[in-house]
Amino acid sequence: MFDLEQGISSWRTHMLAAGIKTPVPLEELESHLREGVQELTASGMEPQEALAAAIKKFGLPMPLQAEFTKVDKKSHLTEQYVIKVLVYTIWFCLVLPTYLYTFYKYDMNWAWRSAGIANIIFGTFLILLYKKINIWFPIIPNRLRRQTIGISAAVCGVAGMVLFMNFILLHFSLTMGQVVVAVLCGLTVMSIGGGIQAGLEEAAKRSTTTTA
Amino acid sequence: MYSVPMIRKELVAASAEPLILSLLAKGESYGYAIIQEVKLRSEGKLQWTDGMLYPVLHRMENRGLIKARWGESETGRKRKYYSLKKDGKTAMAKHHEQWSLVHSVLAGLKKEQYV
Repeated sequence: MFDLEQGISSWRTHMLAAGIKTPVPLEELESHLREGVQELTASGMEPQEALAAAIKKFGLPMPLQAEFTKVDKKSHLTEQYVIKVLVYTIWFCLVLPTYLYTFYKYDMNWAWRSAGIANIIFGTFLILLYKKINIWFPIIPNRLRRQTIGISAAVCGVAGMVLFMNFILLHFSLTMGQVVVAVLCGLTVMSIGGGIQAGLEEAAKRSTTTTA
Repeated sequence: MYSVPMIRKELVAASAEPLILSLLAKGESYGYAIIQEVKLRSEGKLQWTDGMLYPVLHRMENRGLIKARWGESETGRKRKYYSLKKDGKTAMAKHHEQWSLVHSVLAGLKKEQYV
């Protein structure tokens, strides 16, 4: 016996996999699909046939998602702009001056000093080239797999930072300057994880914009 | 069978916004009904892939041409109803003006061919 609800639920899974968001617009799309099925069954079609016909008429999920992405692009751009300004401000007005001051104020041996400088260069490089970094990432079209890898990387980054900080700050007695460098190293570990996650997402976007 | 050709997709895409605006000018409506009405009025020659209507509706909503509200169908199912906003009316008037212009140029040229 054909189960219409199960059929619709499987259609939803396909839509979600393509990246159609829930509840908006997926709920609206489902309402439309149900309306189509209802009309066809009312005209005497079997539910299974009616669902297949309605799904076909509705169109494929990927091109649909590509259209929705175009709509979202504008609001997405403002969001990206705000994030960019925020990151720039925090880095160039807060983190960088703190470091320069630390280097100037406290004595450190060459190892600590070069660790600090390496971190600053790495961080500045990441921030300035953020948009271009995604070309180094592979395109993973499967959304679920991409997000699993990305989120795991981000979680590992945060966990790595926490472990590193706990280890280094609790087990060594550091001078003020060394603490600042250690915190910077911890933040770098975290940003690598976050960077992998963001890079994978950006790479995936690149693939949809070139094929759209 | 090939009687009157279906309208090609570029034209379907270009006419989506003016058609939606003009339909909503008659009163609020929802996705499924909009598609049915366009199909009926064009005798099935103007056909959208059903799903593709929604990105268009959402874009128009983002641009402030139309507004949406959730309501219920006669059978109690959730439905999103759209209606025209003030900017939508202005946009509709502009569309009509432009489409009339294209139409009159085309009609004028066609007439000359038969003189």
